[in-house]
Order: sequence, then structure tokens, then C-alpha cells
Amino acid sequence: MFTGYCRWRLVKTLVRVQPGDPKKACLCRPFSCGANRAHLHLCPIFGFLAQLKPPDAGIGGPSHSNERLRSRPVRVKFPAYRRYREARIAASDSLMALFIGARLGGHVLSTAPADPSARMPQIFGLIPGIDRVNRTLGDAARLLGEAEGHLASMGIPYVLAVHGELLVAVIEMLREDGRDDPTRAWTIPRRTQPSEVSLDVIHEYVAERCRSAFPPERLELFHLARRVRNRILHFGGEAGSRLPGDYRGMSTVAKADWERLAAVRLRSVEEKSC
Amino acid sequence: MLTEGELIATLAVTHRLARAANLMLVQTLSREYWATLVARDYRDINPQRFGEVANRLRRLKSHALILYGPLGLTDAELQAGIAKV
Repeated sequence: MFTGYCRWRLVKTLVRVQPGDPKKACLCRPFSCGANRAHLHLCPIFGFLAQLKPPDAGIGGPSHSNERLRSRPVRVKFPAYRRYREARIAASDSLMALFIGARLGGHVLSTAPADPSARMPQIFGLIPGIDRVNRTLGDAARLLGEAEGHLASMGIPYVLAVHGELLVAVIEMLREDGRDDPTRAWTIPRRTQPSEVSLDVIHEYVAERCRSAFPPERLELFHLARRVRNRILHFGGEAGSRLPGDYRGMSTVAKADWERLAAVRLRSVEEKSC
Repeated sequence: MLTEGELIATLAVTHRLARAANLMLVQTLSREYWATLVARDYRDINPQRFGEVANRLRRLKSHALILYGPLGLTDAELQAGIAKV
């Protein structure tokens, strides 16, 4: 059942503001109960929402409580950060759409009523470029089923490149404000061009100029993702001998965090291929 | 083989680090720099409106409030920022 913040979001959706009228009316159009948010309990359809208990604001309450939302630090949306956000969302959406598209395509092809030995151009002749996949339906379904690893291999370097662009912009801002003094001896040496700062030290470079530090367990995870990217770009996806050792050598907190986020252990490391 | 999970983890990790970098900049860069950046940003987005001197500060305050709210820039700081653009 809907609880806490989710319930209020639902109520907000069901009880909408009428244009030009501050009064809020229930969406149960066929019944037209005329209830506003305060009188939602009168509605024969959505009235049950008013009977639900109010959100528990205590410890261990709903994960989307207003308290939790308020406690999140608000970010400054400077131009480079806005560009980064747009690029990250676009990359994330496109990649997720491709993952789902591959699964959807595989499912459709494997359950299609057509003969599995029929060729793709014969069945889907109207789709542009279908001639380049002159395979049987069964074969095409298998290809789509195996697409996940390839999509991840393309997506990880893409995501890290988008992130790298943001940090280059951050270094440029620090320089404009005189925080990257060329005469000073830095632990991470100053580079003439911010874009020349390598991804393996870019966070440390920024943190030193800010006299601060990134959370170490997050940096550990970033460096793991970066090493996976290196194996994809320079070694054709072979995990090699160092990456499994790096993974096993990570702190327990970082490893648990990675496995929680990825919902799997880094299987590629155990199978010796990315 | 890599999976969707590893990509999601990469997205999540970079997102968190980007937020940390954002906070780091807020704590490090001078208020003069931020004020100048706000003015420059608004001028780039809305050059025509920025040119209307009578309403410039009022509009810049709204812009600063929406996109740079956590900084809490004052009118005097924004005026100084305008002068540098």
C-alpha cells in the first residue's frame, strides 16, 4: 500500500489544481464527487487515500520523508554543472533505453509466431538498415541477448568521459579564481592545460587546490570504474591480473557499496574478462 | 562479461563525486568570483534583458536565487559582480 511521501505524491496527482481556480478538485471525473484535498474522504473512488495513516517522521520512517529531502545539500547550478547534468541524464537515459530495447527485441524475436529460421530482412523489411543483420530470427535473438556486456563496455567509458569534462571545468574555475597558483609546489603537479590532467589524479588535483578531500570510499569506487574502463579501452575487455587484485584489495565498505549499487559482484573480474 | 549493474554503479559513483565537487567549489571559491559568474551567466543566457539597466539587479537577484541559492549573494555583491562583467 502507498505510505508516507509516496502517498502524498499520489494524492497530489489525483487532486489537481483547476486552471484559473485555486480550488483543487478530485480526478474521479465519472463521479464528480467535487472533493478537494481536505475532503478527499468523500470520494467513492479515491476516498481510501484519506484513511491511510500520516507519514511516520521518526527514525527509520519512510525513505522519502521531507526531513530527508531537506537534509540533502543543495547544489549550485553553475553553467558547467548544468551542462554536466544534461549530458549525464541524456547518457543515462539513452543507455537504459538501449538495455531495455535489446531485451525487448530479444523477447519479441524469441516469442514471434514466425519461423525461427526466417531471416530478419524477410520479416522486418521496412526497418532501415535491416539488411546489415541478415540473420535468422533465432540468431538475432541470441545476439540481442548477448548485447548487455557490449553496451556496458560502451557506456562505462562514455559516463567517465562526461564526468571528466565536469572536473576539467572545475579546474578552470579554480584557476580563474587564482586557486591553482603556478608558482606553488603542489603534491599533484600543475598542468598547463586543465584537459591534460589525467583522470587517475583529477579528483586529487581538485581536492588539493580546494584544501579538502573527496570521500575515500567513493574515490575507491571511481578508481575501480576507471580501471575497468582502461581494460575496455586498452586491453579489449580482458580483466588482466591487476584488476582482480585491486578489486579484492578494496576496503570492505567500498566493496559492499559497489555490490549494492551494481546489484552484482564484479563478475568480469572473476571471469577474467570485462 | 560486464552487466548493466556495473554501468549503473559507475553512473551512481560519478554522480556522487560530482555533487561532492560542487560542494567543494562552494566552500573554496571567493564570493566575488561567484557574483561575477552569476552576472556573466545571466548575460550569456539573456543578453537583451541584461542590457536593461533599470531591471538588471532585480532580475539578477532572481537568477542567483534560482540557480545559486545556497550562496546567499547580497545585492552589494551582485552589483560588484555586474561591474566586473
